[in-house]
Amino acid sequence: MGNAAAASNTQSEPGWDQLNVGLRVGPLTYEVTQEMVSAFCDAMPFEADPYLDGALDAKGVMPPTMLATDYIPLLKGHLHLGWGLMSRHSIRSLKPVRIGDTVTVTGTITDKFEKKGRHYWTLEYFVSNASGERCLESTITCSVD
Amino acid sequence: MSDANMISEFEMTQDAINAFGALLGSRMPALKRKPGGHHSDVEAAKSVGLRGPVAYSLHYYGHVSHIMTKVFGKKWLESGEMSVAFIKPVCAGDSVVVKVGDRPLQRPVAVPREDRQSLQVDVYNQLGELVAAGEASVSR
Repeated sequence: MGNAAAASNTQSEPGWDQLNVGLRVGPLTYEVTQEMVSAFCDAMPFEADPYLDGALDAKGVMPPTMLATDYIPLLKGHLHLGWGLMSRHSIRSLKPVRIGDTVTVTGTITDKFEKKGRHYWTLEYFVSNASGERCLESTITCSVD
Repeated sequence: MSDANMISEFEMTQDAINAFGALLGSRMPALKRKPGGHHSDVEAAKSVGLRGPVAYSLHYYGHVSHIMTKVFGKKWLESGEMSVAFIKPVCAGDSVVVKVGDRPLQRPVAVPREDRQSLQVDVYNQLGELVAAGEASVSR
């Protein structure tokens, strides 16, 4: 989001000051499709074969980082993201997410702090499959001005 | 461990940044990006001190996971861990090189985990500057 968007959203979304550690965000729920995987691989860009050729799973699998940007919809309405830069991102992959799986993404704000005059937030978020099994864990720390 | 499979090189063009930015909007129309902003507008980017429109960090960070998928396959999907710190922004027009396992771990933990194979992750720009660095690992 750039400055223009920041100016128009400033009054409608809470700022960093209002963000509470412990805030739970989500859930987001959707079905992972072959089209989503193909579009992600095209945009990266890298070949989709390892995910879709059936070698890893007959149904095909989702690249583990495909939903990493879900922190944006998770925080929508909870924090005006404005201008900021990612500081650190960690991902743990526990189980493959298969094509056709319905996944749910939820998260929790686990930290907020100031460093060198900038404001930072940390979000932990998880991707679970329809059986409730946790497939991916992510932690992101980002600045917001 | 160092071979061609452990390196990914690509150009971070403005078109590539735009295509990546459109992904989220395609999945969630309510989040469809408006034109402008520091990912696509030169003046907006420069107003916050950037050289030019900035790339999404996942756009290069995601290549680490892709390399690990190609090399370790299902083991990566079932036990992969990676953590990357972002040091400098990548901007439109930059050339990006992602290397996994190209040099020893730069910040090894005090007590190495014998149950995991850990590899250094480095991302460079065309000036040879380190723009992101960290670690990726799988269970042995």
